Amino acid sequence: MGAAPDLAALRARIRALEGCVAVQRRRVASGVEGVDHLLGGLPRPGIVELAGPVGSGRTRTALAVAARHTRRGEDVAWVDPGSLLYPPGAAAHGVALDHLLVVRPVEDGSAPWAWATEQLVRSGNFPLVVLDLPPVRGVRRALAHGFARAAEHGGCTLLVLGSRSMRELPADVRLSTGEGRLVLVRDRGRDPALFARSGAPLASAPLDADPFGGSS
Amino acid sequence: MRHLVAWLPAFRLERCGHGADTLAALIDEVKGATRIVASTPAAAGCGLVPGVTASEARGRVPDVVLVPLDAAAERQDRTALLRALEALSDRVSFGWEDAVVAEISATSAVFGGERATAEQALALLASFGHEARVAVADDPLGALAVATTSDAPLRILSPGAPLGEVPLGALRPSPSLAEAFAVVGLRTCAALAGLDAASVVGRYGADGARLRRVARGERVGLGVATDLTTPDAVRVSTPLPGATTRGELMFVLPGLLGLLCRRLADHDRAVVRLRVVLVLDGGSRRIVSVRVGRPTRSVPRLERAIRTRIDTLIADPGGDAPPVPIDELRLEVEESAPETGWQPGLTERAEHREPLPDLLSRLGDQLGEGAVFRPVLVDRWRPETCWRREAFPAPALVTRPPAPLDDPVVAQESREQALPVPRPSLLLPRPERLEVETDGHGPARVRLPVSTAGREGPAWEGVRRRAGPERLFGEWWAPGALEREYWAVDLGGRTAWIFRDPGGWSLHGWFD
Repeated sequence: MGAAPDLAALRARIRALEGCVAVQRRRVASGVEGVDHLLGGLPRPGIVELAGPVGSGRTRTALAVAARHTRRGEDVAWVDPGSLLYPPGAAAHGVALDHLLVVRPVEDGSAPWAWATEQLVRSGNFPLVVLDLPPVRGVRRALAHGFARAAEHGGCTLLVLGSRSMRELPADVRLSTGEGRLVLVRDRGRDPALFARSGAPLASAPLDADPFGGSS
Repeated sequence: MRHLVAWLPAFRLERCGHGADTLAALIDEVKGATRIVASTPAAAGCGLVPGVTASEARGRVPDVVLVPLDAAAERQDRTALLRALEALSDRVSFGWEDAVVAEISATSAVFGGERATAEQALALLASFGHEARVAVADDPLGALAVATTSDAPLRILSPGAPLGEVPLGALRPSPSLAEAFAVVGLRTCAALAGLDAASVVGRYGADGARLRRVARGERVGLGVATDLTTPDAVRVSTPLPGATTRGELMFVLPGLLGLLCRRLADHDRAVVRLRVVLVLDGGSRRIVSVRVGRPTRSVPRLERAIRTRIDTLIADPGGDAPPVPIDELRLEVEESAPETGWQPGLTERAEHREPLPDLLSRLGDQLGEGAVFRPVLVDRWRPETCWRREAFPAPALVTRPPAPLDDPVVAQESREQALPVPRPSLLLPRPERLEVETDGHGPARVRLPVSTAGREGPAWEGVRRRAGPERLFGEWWAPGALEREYWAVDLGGRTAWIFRDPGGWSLHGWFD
């Protein structure tokens, strides 16, 4: 029963011994109405999972967040192993391409996208790193925890896009997209107890405008 | 095997513009004080030798010029000198801090013999502003001893010839060995060469035996053709006659990396940047530079870093030509750093932020230059080609004067560009054919390609909403002219970008 507090105390003790300062987590306004409404901003450092089938609006949401960062003059990295991101589409969503670094590793069996993501997140040069996982890929637990440590180290928000939720990912926030809505599934920062539960969405918000401009 | 050695007694000062006759010395921080680390022969004659502090040097010779050591620039100059001497031999290295060794057995005939090769080496070094003495002998150390003790700028020792009356000190024995030689009155190579081998081993150990063999004119060699004193120029190589496949390269790579790492360990250095060179049949070379994230002597880490780049080395840049047989695999350390070790710690101690250029360089090295980029829009209609890759970050912005809008063409183009055309966030690498049923106005039902359909496989999906058509025409002069009619279609929560061309309907992207 008392294992979790003991472990936390032990970690704090180790940090104190090593002279480390506890990581200060905060929420940074994303500039996207739906995200800020649901979360009060993106966790930084932290990992946000955005899951949903292709075409459901997850990339649109990530681009809206990236647009806000790049318009402020901040650099954003986009790891795109599937080579799917369409820069004219990103520009149409307001992303300043001068501040967008796209990384397209070619798969060779050694998961170069994972290495590249960790390097970008750890470097601290990018306040936002987006990893767009192709549908067939998941994230191994060891890699996922490497992302978490790297995000803490780099003071960065890692936004992971996937077609389905990845249990292995130690995400601070889990969002999903579908039916034109952005759904908050879990938010570790708000209520840690919810992290242990499975299930029901916490809240939802409409996604930004689609290409039909609201007309049928 | 024959070796040419060029002794450069004042290399470190000459590269700073100070000849052998000037009173100049190189200084650096040594043992908590600014001390001389090298000096010209003229300065050395005045007692300004390595170890003397800068203030003491100024006290002894007030006119002395003291030059701060720039280690990086010196490394660059050494590398440049080696590159130039590679015109005479493909195996060139700084065997000692003040001497270059070139293995010329196979190449001297090309230049008209050993003497002609040595003369060319002298001329080449003179063109760099260096005074040198050159000697050719079987063993590099023997050649160095001859070069340092000879009055002539060039001397050739015939194959197998002993060093004769060359002083033993020219073989650069360790201080203790030199003292041991002096105690028994051994002063020349001839005296050492005349001793019985067993007694030399028994009295002076392996080092003494090695010097005896050199004194007798036998070749001992430096082992692998490497620079042993400047780790940034260490290189190792292995012949691979006829190899053509990745597997053959990967088979020898760990061993070669192990050898390289052991060489670096001698200097307590680690690899930062490594150059992989494939010498192909016919003499041409393919080169790729690999940078590792953290200085390392770990063979698996280096192997991992190289593995991803080997394919680009083997692949024929022209396209479909059969693979060219490889003659040799060579690894060269381009940049090294002191090996400080790495203790990850229980909680990942914070480290300094890595400079962005370094990070981009590492990513480019590991993933390939084309994999890391900044997209830039291009004024073209074809969706696949209306952007290109540029280096990140963007150069400083240059403000352009606005185009005059009174030109009707410019004004029209400006209006067209400002039109809110829908563009998807995801574009498939290649359009995929799909089936579409129309209702006379546009798409009414869609059956997606197998690759993008769900687990249940492709099925007909009704179009809830649609936007279009957006007609794109152009490039009529090229094969496969652009003639497409694009639609955005809502398939029940998912919005696809599809088009119709003379060949039928295709899925091109997603408004994800």
